[in-house]
Amino acid sequence: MSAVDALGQQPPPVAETVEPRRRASGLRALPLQAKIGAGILAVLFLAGVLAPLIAPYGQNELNFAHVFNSPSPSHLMGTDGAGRDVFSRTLYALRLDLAIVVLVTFVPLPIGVLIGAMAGYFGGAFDAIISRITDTMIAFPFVVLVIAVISIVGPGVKGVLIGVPIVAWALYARLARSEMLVLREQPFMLATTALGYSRRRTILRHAVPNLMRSSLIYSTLDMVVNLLLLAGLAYLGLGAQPPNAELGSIIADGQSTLLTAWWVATLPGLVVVLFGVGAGLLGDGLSDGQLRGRL
Amino acid sequence: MGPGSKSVLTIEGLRVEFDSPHGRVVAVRDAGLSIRPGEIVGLIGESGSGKTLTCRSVIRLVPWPGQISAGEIEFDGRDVLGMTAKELRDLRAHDVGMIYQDPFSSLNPVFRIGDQVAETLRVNLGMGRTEGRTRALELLRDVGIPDPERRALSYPHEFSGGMRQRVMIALATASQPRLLLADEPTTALDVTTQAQILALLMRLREERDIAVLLVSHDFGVIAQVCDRVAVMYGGHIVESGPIAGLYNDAQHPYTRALLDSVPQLESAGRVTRKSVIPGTPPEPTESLTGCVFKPRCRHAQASCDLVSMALEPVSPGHVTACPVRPFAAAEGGQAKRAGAEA
Repeated sequence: MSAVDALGQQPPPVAETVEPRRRASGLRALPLQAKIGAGILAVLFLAGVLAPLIAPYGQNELNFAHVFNSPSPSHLMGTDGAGRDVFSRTLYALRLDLAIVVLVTFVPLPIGVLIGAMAGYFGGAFDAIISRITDTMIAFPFVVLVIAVISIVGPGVKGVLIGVPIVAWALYARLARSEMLVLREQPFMLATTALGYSRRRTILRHAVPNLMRSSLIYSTLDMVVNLLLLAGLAYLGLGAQPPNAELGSIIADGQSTLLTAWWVATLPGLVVVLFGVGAGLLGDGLSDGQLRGRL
Repeated sequence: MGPGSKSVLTIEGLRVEFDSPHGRVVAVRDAGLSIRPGEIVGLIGESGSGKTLTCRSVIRLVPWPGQISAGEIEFDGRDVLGMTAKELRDLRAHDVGMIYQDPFSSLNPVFRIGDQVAETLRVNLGMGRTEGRTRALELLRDVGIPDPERRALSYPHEFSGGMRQRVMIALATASQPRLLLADEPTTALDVTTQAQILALLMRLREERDIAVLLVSHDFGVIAQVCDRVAVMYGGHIVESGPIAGLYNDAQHPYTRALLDSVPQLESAGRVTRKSVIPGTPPEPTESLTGCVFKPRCRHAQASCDLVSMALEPVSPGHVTACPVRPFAAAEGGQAKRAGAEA
């Protein structure tokens, strides 16, 4: 028991003067690909938000003198069969679609995380019920459900706004639940109880910040899925009603003239692709950052 | 249990059971313990002896599916087992602190150290934001965190194990509890750090009169800081008494075997590992009649099958569950552990 010698006398001054590691705050700490992804998304969101300011033409402004003009400095993405400026229409479409995507992704997210966290924390019958519900939701053919909702409320973005959140929370709930199962066994969760904190504080203040990360990473994927769903429904004519533009409806318009006026369908399509790439890079980078941060 | 001074904690007849697929498992049987204000009491035993469960029972933190099925726990005259959820939270928040083995994951990784300590002060003592922050820095300084103004901004992963354990102690003692439950607080730490943490516990005891229940499997740790010690085996407390009495005059063969298994550093580079207790501790599922230690005891006799495990006095404050007393007559106080060497 060499430690016995240390008894009685004051402990030696603690020689731990490790510099706290310099923490780049916020975005600067992210890996490069996450920054690129975030940059792409930022540009797209900015373009959507500022659409009325930066769009050179109105979204439904007809000009029969310039039908099917190919891309040029005055019409960056060319014009469609009614002489409408595809670039302006794409900006307005982006504005509408991104607003919907953000709503249907980030409204269900906290709800799902909370439900999942509670299911994981409390376990037992509550967990069993929540888990069966999430299983059902996840197994349910998602697009069919949204179309079913649309058949009730009529075509338009309302269908997506109602239909998607009904199902989307379930995946976040499942993610949060599984993270909570691990987290619950962590000594610091026991510590919150031993310190007399309420369950509410334990879950909301101590567990949720720890399990938000995987949900946030997943949300980047979810945004892409939702944008594609939105574009797909609009393509089928179930989205925003003409003449207003949605990315899917512009693409659907241009589809018939793909061989003669390729730009009408292709260029807005590339915007969708760009969004997917940006969100993918961000999500990927975030999860890499997460791995490194944990070690 | 000295006359005159009132215990801050009394445990009597504690029984902790688990429902398992193989039926009911009794992990703690009829454990009793008392701690006076400002006293450090050790609870020693092997893995699975029930020492951690006994410790956690004090604030009713027995992990699911375990449950306290019998016994009485009295904290400062209050019946802990009869408390409502509200009273229990109050007890945990103000009166009893707990620290435990793994300092690496006992702090929330996503919050700064200072914020975690300040949170306790805000939530449990109702301090304001600024007051909480100032007091948190004082507490961190008090437990020996150098340069607390700067270190309070660090995250737990930037701290060493010893530093984290200090932060845990700051957290657990922030609301001036009267009892600190220390469940193997030094097991994950190296020997120098261990000595510093133990010295810190002793200093807190001196300065704030905090009683400590120190759970350990290491007699060296217990011997350094405890006033009294209880030895647990197979869910029973088999012997308890003042540390000196127990160390010099252990009456239970298990206590003696534990003492003998502590390696002694005799001279430069020469370590004598005295003996190892043969066999393994009883499975909690086994139902044993008589003495739980009998299968591993070198002094076992036929009469051991009839032992009740009730504690009988040896000297004031010193009790043992072994009625055979194999050491009482044969050896005096001086030749204490010579016999085991053979």
